Amino acid sequence: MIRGLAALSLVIVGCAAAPREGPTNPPGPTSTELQELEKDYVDLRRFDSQLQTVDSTAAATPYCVQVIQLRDSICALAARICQIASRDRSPTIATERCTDGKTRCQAAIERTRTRGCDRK
Amino acid sequence: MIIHHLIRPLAGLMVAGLLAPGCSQGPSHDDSRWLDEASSRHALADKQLASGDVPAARDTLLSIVHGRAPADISEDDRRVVLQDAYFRLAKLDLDGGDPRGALANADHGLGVGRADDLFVANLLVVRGAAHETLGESPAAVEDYHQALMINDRLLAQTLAGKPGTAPAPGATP
Repeated sequence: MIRGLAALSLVIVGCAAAPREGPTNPPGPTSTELQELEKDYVDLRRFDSQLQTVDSTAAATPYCVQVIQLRDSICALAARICQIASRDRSPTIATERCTDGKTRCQAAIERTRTRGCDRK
Repeated sequence: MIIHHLIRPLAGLMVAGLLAPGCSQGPSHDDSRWLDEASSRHALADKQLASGDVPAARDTLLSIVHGRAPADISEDDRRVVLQDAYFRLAKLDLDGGDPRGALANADHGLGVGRADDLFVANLLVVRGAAHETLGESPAAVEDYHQALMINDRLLAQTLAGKPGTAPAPGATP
């Protein structure tokens, strides 16, 4: 979102700064308006940068590293169980374990995201 | 093989965890020496594996499990040291195309004790992979699922902020 806004501001500033031809063009923004737009753009860029820093810092904490590793292990094991279950022609214990594993994997993904450890 | 994605390697982790200040129960001099020795043997096995000398690495790891632990070492410290070595032995077997050997070493490791930690979880995963290689799918599924449950409980404990419920993060190589 912020990146989008920043890009939009850049386009606005870029368009405003484009050379104008002929007297039929509508009046462009004043230099004061351009300066304000530029300032807004710089502020947005700074804010976006700060947000990214906060996100990456959270994901890199030992707590998050551990949480993400555990989540990944849960999901990898669930995937493996389901792969085995998929080879069975009729429902077996593997089918049940697969369902349980998928549920736990999904819950782990949500809990990881809720704790701010994953930006996915 | 898939096991590489499922297992969180623990080589060297246990010693780092046990020797870290505040992580052990205050090991005696003999305990520390034993842990130091296990640590240096893991490091030696790493070097031997890096140079492709698998038999030598296997011998080095076997010397850990055949070594005599100090009488007064805590059961938990002894368990994780042995389980880490058995895990590495089982993994070597599996990677070397010997699933029965892997099964035996994993069984030995799990026979040392059970706990909700990654040492037990890794042994379950390597044993599950051995079962799978042998075409024993139901047993493989059960081992994988037990490992999954341990990881799930560890996640719940970590999110609840309980310290010491899992090995220190970032210690995996």
